[in-house]
Amino acid sequence: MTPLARWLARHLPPRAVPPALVLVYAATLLAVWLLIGEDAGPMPYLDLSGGP
Amino acid sequence: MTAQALVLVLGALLAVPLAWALPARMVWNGLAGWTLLVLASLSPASALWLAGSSLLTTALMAAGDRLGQRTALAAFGTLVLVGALGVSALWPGITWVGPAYFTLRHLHVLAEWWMGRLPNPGLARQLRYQLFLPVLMAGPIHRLPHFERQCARRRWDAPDFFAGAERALFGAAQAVVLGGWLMGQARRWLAAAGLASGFWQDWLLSALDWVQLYLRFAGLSSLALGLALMMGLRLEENFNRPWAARNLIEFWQRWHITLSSWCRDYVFQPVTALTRSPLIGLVAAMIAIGLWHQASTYYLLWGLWQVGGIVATRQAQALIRRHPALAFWPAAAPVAGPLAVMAWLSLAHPALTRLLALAPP
Repeated sequence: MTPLARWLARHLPPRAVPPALVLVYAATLLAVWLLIGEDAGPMPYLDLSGGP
Repeated sequence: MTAQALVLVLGALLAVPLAWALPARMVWNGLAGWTLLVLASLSPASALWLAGSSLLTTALMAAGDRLGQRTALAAFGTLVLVGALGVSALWPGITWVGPAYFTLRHLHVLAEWWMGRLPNPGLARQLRYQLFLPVLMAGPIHRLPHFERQCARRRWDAPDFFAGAERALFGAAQAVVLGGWLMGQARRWLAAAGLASGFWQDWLLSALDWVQLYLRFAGLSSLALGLALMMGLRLEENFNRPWAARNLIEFWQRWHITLSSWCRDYVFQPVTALTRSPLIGLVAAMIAIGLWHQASTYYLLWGLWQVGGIVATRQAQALIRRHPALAFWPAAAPVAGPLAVMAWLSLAHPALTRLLALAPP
């Protein structure tokens, strides 16, 4: 069981856990996919330019 | 997220099935080869540097063992590695991938060998340790003995695999959605509200920078640690709820833990032992952390700013021990402590930039 699945199992009836889990994963993946180009400035610790 | 970062993340994702599909005796060499391929495709200069510096440190340790000249050769290796890192920042037009991290890993191996706690690992073990794709671009700065123990103990464990996948996904979301999009919205909102330039506004924006830094960096660390866990390795944690730190000392034990523990072990402790002065050790360690971020006057002062905060915290703690009545409202500490830490950290930028502006050019 993943940490999220454990948390959902504490708050939801057992039958609702798998669909809720799939829903959260899908929504997160979609949000990352859609917003991956959004940049709010430099990312100082991403060491891709010689300095962190 | 930049295109190079995306290639590294996709490369690390592809390394996960590779880690389980390759025969056990080939897996770490195979993963190191895959990492070198991805790195060379993005930045051939970085791949050469990483391979060359691994060769150099291994050769220096072998020569040191043979000639009995450990101290001189460890010092020479340190100078070359740190010098190369400094020079790389001045090199125009080349994208370097991960030198700030792999240099500290090299120095860790060299220091442990110099202190006699680690034998010369040899080139193959060095390369397997250095060429681990998930931690290449944003750490954590993992240690060789821990990494090798984890590799040796690795077993397929489905709960760990899915916990790792979940952590990697949420880490990516934290870095991209919260640290990128949401913080971008906050900045646009502040700009639209006509936030004029001034000391208090700069302080507020600096606090926002710290929040964004946490969201992005802790997110990237979670992504790396999650991917490593999917491969069956539990690497060192980089963050332990730094926003809950009640003072600056606690903050530095919770923020970028692998860097601060590196500086504790290889800067603070040796300098303190040499000078018999914890204060000098602290100054050296915080300056090292500052200059690791960037070799500049600003980050030199930033390191001293942190020393000031830590010394003030120690003094306040001693004062409260002597006069317990001064801790007049202990129940407020869980909120007031983190707020004071954030105020001190974010004050550094507006205060130091103004101080530097006063200095003659």
